[in-house]
Parts: sequence; C-alpha cells; structure tokens
Amino acid sequence: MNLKIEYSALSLDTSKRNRKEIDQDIEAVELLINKHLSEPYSVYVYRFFLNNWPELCLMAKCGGKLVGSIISKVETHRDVRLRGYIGMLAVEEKFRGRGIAKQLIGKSLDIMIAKGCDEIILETEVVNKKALRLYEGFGFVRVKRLYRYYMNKHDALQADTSNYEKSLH
Amino acid sequence: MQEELEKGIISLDINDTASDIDITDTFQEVIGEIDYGTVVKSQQFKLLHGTHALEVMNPKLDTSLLPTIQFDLCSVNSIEKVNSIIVGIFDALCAWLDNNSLSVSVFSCAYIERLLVNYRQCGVSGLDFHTHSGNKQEHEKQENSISDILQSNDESIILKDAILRTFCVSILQFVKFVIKMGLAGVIYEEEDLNTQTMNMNIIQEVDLDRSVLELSRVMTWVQTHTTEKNPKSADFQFCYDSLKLVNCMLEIPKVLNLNLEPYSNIKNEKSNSSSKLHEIRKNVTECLSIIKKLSSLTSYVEGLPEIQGCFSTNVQKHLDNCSPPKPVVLLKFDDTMQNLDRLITDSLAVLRLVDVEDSVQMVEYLSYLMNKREPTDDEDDILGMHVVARSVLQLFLIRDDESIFGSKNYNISSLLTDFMTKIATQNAKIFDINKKEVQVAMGELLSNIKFPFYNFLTCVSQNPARQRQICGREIILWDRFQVDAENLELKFNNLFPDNFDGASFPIMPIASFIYYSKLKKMIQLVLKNVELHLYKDLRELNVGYWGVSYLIDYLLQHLNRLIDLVKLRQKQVNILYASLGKARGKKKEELMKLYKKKSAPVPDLIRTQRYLEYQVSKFSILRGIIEVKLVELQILNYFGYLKLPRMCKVPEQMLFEIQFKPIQSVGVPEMPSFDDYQKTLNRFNDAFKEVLRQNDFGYFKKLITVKAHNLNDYFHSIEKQLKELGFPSFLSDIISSDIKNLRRASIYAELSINKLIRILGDNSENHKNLNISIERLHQNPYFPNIQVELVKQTSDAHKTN
Repeated sequence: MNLKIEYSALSLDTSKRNRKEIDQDIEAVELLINKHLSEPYSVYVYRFFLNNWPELCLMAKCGGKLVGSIISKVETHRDVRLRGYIGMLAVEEKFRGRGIAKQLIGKSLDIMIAKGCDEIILETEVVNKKALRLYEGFGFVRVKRLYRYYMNKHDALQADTSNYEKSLH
Repeated sequence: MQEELEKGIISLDINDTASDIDITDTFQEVIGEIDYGTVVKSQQFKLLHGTHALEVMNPKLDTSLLPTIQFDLCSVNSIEKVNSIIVGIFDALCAWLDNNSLSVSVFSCAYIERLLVNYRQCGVSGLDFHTHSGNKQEHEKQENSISDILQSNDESIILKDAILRTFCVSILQFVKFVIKMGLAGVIYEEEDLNTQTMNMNIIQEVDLDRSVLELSRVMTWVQTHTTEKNPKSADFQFCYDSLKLVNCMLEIPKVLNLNLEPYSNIKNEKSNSSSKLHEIRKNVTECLSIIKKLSSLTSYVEGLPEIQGCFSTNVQKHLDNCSPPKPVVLLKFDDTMQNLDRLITDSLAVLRLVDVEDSVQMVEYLSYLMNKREPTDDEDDILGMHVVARSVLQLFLIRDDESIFGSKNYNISSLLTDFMTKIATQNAKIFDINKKEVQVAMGELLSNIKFPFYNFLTCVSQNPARQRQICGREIILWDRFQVDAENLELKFNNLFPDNFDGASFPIMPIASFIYYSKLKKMIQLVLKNVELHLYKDLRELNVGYWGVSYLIDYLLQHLNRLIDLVKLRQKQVNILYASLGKARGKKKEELMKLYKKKSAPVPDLIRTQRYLEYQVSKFSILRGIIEVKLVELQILNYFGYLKLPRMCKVPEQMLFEIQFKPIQSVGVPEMPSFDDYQKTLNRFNDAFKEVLRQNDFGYFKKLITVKAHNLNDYFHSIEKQLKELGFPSFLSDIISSDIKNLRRASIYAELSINKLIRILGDNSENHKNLNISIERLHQNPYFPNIQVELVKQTSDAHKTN
C-alpha cells in the first residue's frame, strides 16, 4: 500500500486558518507524542515549543490524519552559540518503516541549519537503539551520557552535530 | 474577566457541591481568545500551580485520577504478615535507592505513611499507627513506650505496635541518613537519588540512639520466640534476622562522626576513634552474612501472605506529590538482597580508605573506587558504586573544614602537597628559597592547584556519566595552572637554578606534576568515552584509540622524565654526601645539616621511582592493547567498514573534532589534527595495499606476534613491580585483578585480529562478507571486543552492527 505522506509545519497564523483547525493540529500533535513517548509532558511544555517555534513543529499527515511529528527549538546557548534542539519525535506504529522519521529529522535539520544553528543536539534513551541509529545516520555524535535521565530510569545519550556550513564561513 | 473570576473564587464555598456548574466549555471558549504565545498570569496563582491546573484530567500527570485503595492497619496480626510487610519495606527501600521516588517506594507503605502523618501532627510522641485527633498534648498522655507494649498479653499488639513499628522507624532513620547525605551536595538530586520527601518531616527530632535502643529491645523479645519449641520459630528467626540487618545498617551513619588520622589509625589501636571504627566495620560486615542467609530464604518469602493494599499509590493522593502519578515500585526480593549486598560491600570498600599507608596509595585506592563497576548482564547499564557508598565516601573522606577523615592536621592541601612531593617535587630547590616574593607566589600557585585536585576528590564519588564531565573540568583547570606554574618556575629558575644534569633546561617540578596529572586525566577521559558508549562504532573507536595512543606516548615520555628527576635527586644526595668528606669546620656542619635534610626522603625517592616505573609498564600495556586494536580497525577501514553513514550531513573532520571536544582546548599536548589522522590512515592503507598485492599476511601475523610478546613482557614485569611497591595486600590484590582484566582484554584483541587475518589470508575476497559487531558485555570497559565473522552467503553488502 503506497500511501502519500504530506509534510508541513504547524502554522499559528489565524489569518490563514481558523483557530479551531489550528487547535486541532496542536491537539493531534500532543496526542501522538503522549501516546508514543515514555516521558509525560504537560500542556505547558507543548505550548512552549509550539508557540515559540511553530515552524519547527513538523507534521507528517496521511489523508489529513497526523501520523508523525517532530518538535524542535532554536535558542542561544550560553550567549555564545545558536543551538538547535530536537525535543520530541513520534511516528504512528502502522506508519513506521516508511522513512517518515528520516524525512521529519532531515527537514527539521535543514530548517535549523538555515536558521544559522552552530550546533544541533538531542537526547535519546540509551536503550532505544533504533532512535540512536536513526539520528547517528545523520551524523550525530554522542557527546554526553546523562545518568538516569529519564523517568523510566534509563540513561540518556546526548548527541550533537555541528552545522558545518556555518563553521566553514 | 479576571476581576469577576477573583470575586467568584473568594465567595466560593467548596463544601457546597450541590450548586457546582461545569464551566469547562465556557473556560475553553474564553481562553480561545488569548493569542498564541501569550501567557495570561493571574496574581492568585503561581505559574507552577497554573501549569498543574493544565494537567487536570491528564492520566499521565493528574494524581487525583489514581484510585483509592482501602487498607486496615489493624489487619496485620500474625508474624507471617509482619514478615511480609518487612520484606515489602526492604523491597521499597531498595527501589528508592535504585533511583525511584519515596512516594512510589518507601512512603507507599500504609504504615510508613501513618507514622509520618502522625509524626507531623504529634511529634515524637505520635510515632505510632493509631489515628490521632491531632491534639499533641492529649496524645502525649497516652504514649506507650516500646517496653510497655512488649509487656502486653496480646501478641498481635506486640507484633504490630512494637515490632513492625520499630522496624518502620528504623527504616525511616536510614532513609533520613541517606537523604541528609543526598542533600549535602555530594551526589546529584534525581539522577543519583530522589530526595523529594513530599514535604514530610522524616523524623528529624527522633534520636538515632533511641531508635537503636528500641530496636535492640524488640530484637530481644523476638529472639525469645525463636526456640525450637515454638512452631513459628522459623518465622520469628526471619523477623529477627531482618531486624538485625537494619540494626547493623544503622551503624553506617556513625562513621561520619569519627575523626581519624590518615595512614595511622588502624595500627594505632589505642585511639578511641580507631576502636570505634573497628567496631562499626565489624557490625557492618555482619550484614553480609545476614543478607546471605536471607537470600537463601526466597521460597520462604514467596510463601508469605500477600497483604493487599498495604503498598499503594494512596500516599500520592494524600500527601504533597510533586511528581507525576506513578505505580508503586518494589524490587523483587532477590534484587533487594543484591542491592543491599552492594550497599554493604561498597560501603566496606570505602572504609578501607583508612587502611592506606600514604598519599600515593590513597590516590591509587580512590581511583580504584572511582572506576569500580558493578558486573551487569545489560551492556547499557553502567553502574558505579552503590549510591549510599558513594555518598559516604565523599562525606567520610572530606569534612566541612576540608580535613581528611576529620584529621586535626591533614587536609586537602596536605594531601595534595604530600602526593605532589612524592611524584615530582621531593627536594625541589624552589621550596628552599627563603624569599618572600617566591613564597607568596608559590602559596598562590599551590592554593590554585588545589582546585583541580579537589575536583578529582569529588569526582571519585560520582556516577560514571558524571565522572567524565567532571574529569573534563579537571583537565581544563590543570591546563590553566600548568601555564602559571611554568611561568613561575621559569622566572625563579634564573635566580635559583634547578636543572637537569649537564643541561640547561629546568626541571620545573610543580609544572611537571601538573602535566603528569593532566595527561593521566586526558587519557582517562578518552577511555571513559569508550566505556560510556560515546564512541559507538568502529570509526569512532578508531579515532578514540588513535587519539589516546598519542596521549599515552606523551605520558610515557613524561614518566621517564620524572624517573630521571627522581634519579637526579638521589644522585644529588650522593654528591652531597661525597662533599662532606672534603668540607671542614662550620661549612661541614652546614653541609651535614643539609645532607640530613635532603637524605631523609631517599627511601621515598626510591619508592617513587618504583611507582613511576610501575606506571610505565601499566601505560605501555594500555598502549600495546590499543596498537593491536588499531591495526585491526585500520584493516577494516581499508575495506570500507569505517565509512560515515549515508545520510550524514556533517563532514568527517567535524565529527573528529566533536569527538575530542572536551580536550580540544588543551594547550600542551595539542591534540593532533584531522589531517594528521588522515595521514596515518593513508600510510596504513599504502602498506596494507602492498600486503594484499603480495598476498603476504605473514607480515601482519609477525607484527601481532611481536606486539603480543611485548605485551607479555610488560605483564610479567608489572607483577614484579607491583610486589616491590609494597602496597597493603587489599590494594595490591585489587590492582593485580585489574591487570588480569587487561591481560584478558589483550588476549581478546589478539584473537580477534588473528581471526581477521586468517579469514583474509584464506581468501582476500572474504572482506566482502564480513559481519562485524562490537561486543561490550563482560568485556573490559575500555576494550570492547571486535567480533569478526565470515558470512557464508556471497554478498557485496557490508554488514556492521
């Protein structure tokens, strides 16, 4: 079955879409992430990411239904460099293995690089080999191990990649 | 709207539920008008409360959605039931020590919750399982002592109100002690230990001695029921052993009150503190045999009645729960016993610190404790010492006044100076300069280098992941102060020369010590990257090993320089002795005085030389193993097994630099560049191409044989050197075991590369069909095994894990 997947960024522009539609997108993203990630996040966490960096909340939809999403942010780190951060990524089980996560990561990285990030980091569970392989495929290097970082007591590995385009200038 | 809302809230009668109206829809409608990204904050709420309000009805975050479980505290009326709860509390205690919160572990026990609530209401006199009116004075009149309760004719009352209550209070004493250590800032909140107490007072005003006394009274009563005549003697014996275990565990807090003199206490039996320590160690050691006994009773434990509802999520609803709702976590009894065994074993290992005889042994033993790892069957689980032992280590070693073990005369600075003297600064001339300017500058330098050394002392009690970060900080500090030390020593060397024989270059003993410390840390950091799986694949391992072999070369060079320095100091003493014969009168007296001063440390100089030579062997072994690994990895690189992933958006040079990020900023030695790395690979590729062209794998076989012989030589000499160091047996046994572990790693490395060469020698086209994996489980943490297998089917695809 070859279903078409459409990718788009969350838009909070009420002049283009009505509020109800926007809220439906936000709710769908929250539901998807809550369903698949072990960490519980409050509404406030989602709103922090989504309201500040809607362009970095990328959605993968199939037939109008949300099947995957990635949420990232870009902030200045220690007043010296612009740091991109991939906060959450989830894909519906039925849609896994179709390269959706790769697409979402790739697009998110491109946006963060275009924004001028000096580095992009993320954390993932040390036992989540699939996620590690996925991110490391993009050139992420493990830079730090965070002991018992997650509520499920697993260690996290912090991965880092640098924006070489910027560094070469 | 805000004004109306505030008026409404003020006039709200929360008991009047009849007129409640569901305003959810209205609320949603109103907030729909707030622009995205805008925060409307009421003065009535803190932001945190506001965010909590947003979590209402979220099953992952709303505690009120948890079900309430009914449980009658009076239902426990038999020894079997008491034992069942005791086991549960042990399981809960270890779950907490295994990084769960108190709310889901110890506090989840209904009896513990009742004790804490009563204690909050009525203080010490309320420390029981009754329901109180909250009137403290009224309750004080009713208070029954444990001795009174033990006189009761009703056994069920004794079981619950004396035995179970005393056990619970004793466990709370232990929890209180651990929390106190957790809050002392020597370990990390959340990641090492969760110290959230739900805002409950953990019996702060209840004296430990009082609890221990009650415990011993209860134990006496229980022991009288363990006679063979009693049909329930086995049950009472289990109860007694459990009480005894917690009784012995409560000895651990006492070590923090002992003041000891390093390097002398155990031998000095007359010291009061020494005999106390001896007694504490004896009692804590007794825990091990009790744990062993209890561990053998798994089937008894499994047969104990299950007390429904005794452990529940109720406490998360009843008390101030700052965490999301979570199910109760109790370890399995076997895991509990293992956890307690680790706690005790590691704590006893920490107390062995008092058995070291000098500062070199102290640093060696601290490094051992720092790198002590718990064997595990999960390669992702990297466990250091037990969290309780790590906390005890830090607080026992360094006291608030910076003294070591609470010594009157020996503190962090003394330990540093002592250690530095033994490594590099013995008989250094700069310490003899009687000039204020020099002394002031030296004082400042020594007080500065205390920071990286203190960093090391605190690092030893951290979890493995934190150790690496702190190690990185230490390197930066050493690097900074090395420059200061060099400048200072060079400046004064012009006035008071302290040079190597026949050469004009200065010794710079302090800078030499700093350089030694820094290089060792740099090597440790890179190897820790391997241990923590930060170097995840063949390419990154190759980069890491290549970098660390470069650093080891520098260290070996420097160690040999330090050996030359120690020899020079011995020679200088001999020259001084020879000059005595020629001198006369006052000059002779002065020389004699000087000779006495300089020759006193000669035995130390000899020991230092042996210690440095031992380290040359140790680091040569590390380098030898790394060289074997590098040959194998670079053969695999030749065949394309170290390529970057296809989707990688970053050039290899950038990745190379990120890998050495924590040590990139170090001035000396400067890490080699990516170009240097590439050149090394290219040189190897050229040589290997020739091997392939001539199909001459014999060259590599010979190369590995030579390296294996060299390694064997070092393994032989290091054992001998270790004996000559004269370390106490507990320390030399530990080091010996580490060396055996390295030997095992070297054999694995040789077997792996020999296998690869054999596969390629059989048919050079075999390189297309290799399945390569990195095996970490049960391997040396710094040297995971590279597993090479020839895949049967013909395929062009490389397979790497």
